[in-house]
Amino acid sequence: MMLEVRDITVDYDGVVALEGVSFSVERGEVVSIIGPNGAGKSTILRTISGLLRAKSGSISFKGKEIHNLPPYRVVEHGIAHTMEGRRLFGLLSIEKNLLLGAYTQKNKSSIHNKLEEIYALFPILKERRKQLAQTLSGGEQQMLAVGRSLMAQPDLLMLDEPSLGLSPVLVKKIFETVKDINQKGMTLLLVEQNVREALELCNRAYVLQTGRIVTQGSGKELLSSDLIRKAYLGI
Amino acid sequence: MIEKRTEISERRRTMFKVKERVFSVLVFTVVICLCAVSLSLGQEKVVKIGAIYPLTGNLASTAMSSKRGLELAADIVNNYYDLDIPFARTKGIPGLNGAQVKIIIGDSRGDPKVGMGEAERLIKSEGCVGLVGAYQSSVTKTASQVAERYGVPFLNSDSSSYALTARGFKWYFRLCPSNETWAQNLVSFIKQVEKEKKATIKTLVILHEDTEWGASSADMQKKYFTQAGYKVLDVIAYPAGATDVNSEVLRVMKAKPDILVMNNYITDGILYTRTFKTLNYNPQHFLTWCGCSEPGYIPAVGKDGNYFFSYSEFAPELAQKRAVVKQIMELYKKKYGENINENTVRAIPAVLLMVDAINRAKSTDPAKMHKALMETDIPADQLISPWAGIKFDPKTHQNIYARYVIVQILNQAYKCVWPPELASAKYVWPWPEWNKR
Amino acid sequence: MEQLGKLLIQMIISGVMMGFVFSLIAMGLTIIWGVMNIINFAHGEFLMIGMFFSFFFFKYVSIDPLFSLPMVAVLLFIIGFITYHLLIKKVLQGPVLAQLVVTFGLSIFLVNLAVFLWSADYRMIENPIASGKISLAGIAVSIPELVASIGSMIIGAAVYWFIKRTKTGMAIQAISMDKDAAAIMGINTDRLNAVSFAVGVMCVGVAGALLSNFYYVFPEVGSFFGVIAFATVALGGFGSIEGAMIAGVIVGLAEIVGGFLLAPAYKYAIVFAIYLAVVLIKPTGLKGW
Repeated sequence: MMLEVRDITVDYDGVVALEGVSFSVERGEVVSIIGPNGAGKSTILRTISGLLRAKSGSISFKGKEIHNLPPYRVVEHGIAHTMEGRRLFGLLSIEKNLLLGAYTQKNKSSIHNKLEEIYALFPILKERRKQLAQTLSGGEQQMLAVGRSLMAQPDLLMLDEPSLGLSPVLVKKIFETVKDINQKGMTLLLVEQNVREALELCNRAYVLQTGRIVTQGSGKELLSSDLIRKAYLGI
Repeated sequence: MIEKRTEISERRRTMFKVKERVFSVLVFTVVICLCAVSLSLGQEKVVKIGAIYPLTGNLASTAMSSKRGLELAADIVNNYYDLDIPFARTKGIPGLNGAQVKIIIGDSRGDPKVGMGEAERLIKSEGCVGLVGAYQSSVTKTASQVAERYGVPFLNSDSSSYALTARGFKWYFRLCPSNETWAQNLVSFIKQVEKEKKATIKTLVILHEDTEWGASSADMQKKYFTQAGYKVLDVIAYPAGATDVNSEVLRVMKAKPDILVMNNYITDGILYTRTFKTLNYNPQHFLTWCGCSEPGYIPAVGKDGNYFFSYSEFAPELAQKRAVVKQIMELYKKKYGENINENTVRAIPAVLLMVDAINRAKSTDPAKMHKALMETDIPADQLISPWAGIKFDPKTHQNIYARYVIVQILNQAYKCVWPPELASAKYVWPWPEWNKR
Repeated sequence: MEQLGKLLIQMIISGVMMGFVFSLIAMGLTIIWGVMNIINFAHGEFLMIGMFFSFFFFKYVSIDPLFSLPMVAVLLFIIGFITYHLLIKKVLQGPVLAQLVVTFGLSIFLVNLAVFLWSADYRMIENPIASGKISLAGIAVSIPELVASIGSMIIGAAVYWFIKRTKTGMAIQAISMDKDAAAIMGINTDRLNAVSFAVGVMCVGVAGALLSNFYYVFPEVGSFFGVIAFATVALGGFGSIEGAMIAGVIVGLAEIVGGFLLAPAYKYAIVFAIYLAVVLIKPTGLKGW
């Protein structure tokens, strides 16, 4: 088991955001967390990456407890987090954004190789590498956000709403990219509102409602379940 | 059996506890009562005088000298000192059963609004019978308004704005000379210089910081110099908290006056001195007011402070004429480890006069104190200031005997050069140029 | 006419020289604001501490302010670092009011501490190495001011380089743009907050040490420069280092040239008028985000 979340409860100023959430991610898998707005999907990712503290429960990654670590230590353990809304450093160039992604990496030549790898994956970023990040279009920004997370050379990549605010064409492209990254060996934890694409892509999925996991299963099972079809796919 | 015994001892213990409690409550009550009695007794014997000074802010070091003057004066009144000055050889205020004087200090931070609030607090909450202070004319203006409203005497011995007495307040009295006096003194001095040094002095520029004090002083100087036939080329105002005065000095240099008349505080005074030197500005002479007489000025600028003319309300030369001046200078030095300065000397008479008024009125009733203040006529030999005495103008309440002395900084010390009867050194005129020293 | 021209050149030189010092002070303030969103009301007081250290090195150990400069810089850096850990860190997560009050309280505390420890007297460093002046064609340049402006320029450039070109500097910039995003890049935000605060305090402390060559030292000195620093940062744009650098020079020039051409009484009004004009056109200041 690569990531194991056991019975975590999180609250914001006394309001419960997550209650007894447990799930796991195996090496090489794509796991999706789906659910309506405000269900607490982003909260799960923010708790894993250390931006939020769980009130109870535990999180272990590669056999080590990480739920008491500050965010920068979590990154060192090999978890990268692409936050909702990309959260780029808008006034820095694309290349600097990418290099900041490799902040925890010490080996200069491996950083350089990784950079070239990202540029190969997203050639548009190489073209515009001296440009400020805020000048990019939405799709390009998302590529940069994903690229920046990959620069940390993580074992687990957590993507929060990668398709948010993108045109259907770009959404498709982003999902292709995600699939591509997974096929190269990256383990993925995906939070998505685009339920169909997310379920089609993932190995397993968890459905979150008002801070609790209400059901789980493989992508295919869930796609055909009544609950999902009615509540999320509108069929 | 055993059980019973324990029960008894238990009960005893409880009783003892109860007794203990009653006892401690009793003791507590007695202590409180004693405190209250001693407080109420104490209230009879202490007369509170409120003092407002800018204890924090850029005049903090100046205000510290004033505060020490107030404390020294209260100490002289409250205890026995073998000094030839009223209230020294008695303990407390004789006319009020030997009541002690207590100075309550309010910090104006140099801000008229804060000064007003402090005046209110000193009168209403502290119960002060009179106020002294408040150094800056702008603060004195608002603080004395509060005193006027409550009908409490305000004795002012360190604000010189002419406008303060022009208001015709009932409760405001000024012991010290005003900036009108200073303007008149300056003109007399320049006339004397023209005669003695055969100097041709025709033009001047007046430079002043832009608060009440600086602006009204500049008005007076303009008025009296113009009346005396001199040409005022420019009157330049500048902000009091300036961090740089290049533009001011360059404007003066452009106007090329024979003499530069300055109205400044200490921080800007230091800055000007430096800037004059850097820009090598040498008029016939500088007549400064205030800033160069602050105790911090000479230590801060060293030799560069030499030859500036400044004013003083304290002439150490008086020590040769009046023994008490020398004694107080020594007493102050012993107590605070520094030389007495003008600000101390100015603060002392305000407290002594307040005490004198209470003593003559035999009461702290404001109306009686007011009557006593109006009847004040203190001769010069009871003072440590170079004033010719204390007597108030019946309308403006300005001390008609107040006057300044003009000093020049020679070898990093203030030497009295005017009026002639107090002069202790020959003044240097014209100004020795910066690069020829 | 020729005389007026000379005066103008004189003023521009003086204005630019003071301007560089203002720039350095404002840089410190803007870095602290940019990274932590904290308005450091005690900024002027750190300037005062820098001046006092410089003065004490001169008086008690006979080290000229020029040579004690690195030591003052290190000391102020340490003081900044400690201040961050003792005070600033505690309120960063707290309400905005607490953040305002903590530095405001610190400023009052430091002034009073200085009055208590060192008295309210004015002190001046007499005859430092940087003294006297250079006169050229009737234009006088005060050497201590020149040294202060060059020193400020060098330190300012070094800090600029540190922020813009080093990995740590880049991380500091990242924090100022998005704290959470920076944290998940693996940046130890707490440690870099401390470093930024310390660098900000060091900037203003070094400016104080440079000023001590020609400016009098007293506990309240910070308030004068503090006010100018706020105007400068506001003019340059909150959080912008380039803005602070440019605005410092504008303020220095406005103060002197504006004061001369209009009236010295209005020189700070001119500074604020320029600020208002800039804000009307660009509400975030010259280089604000």
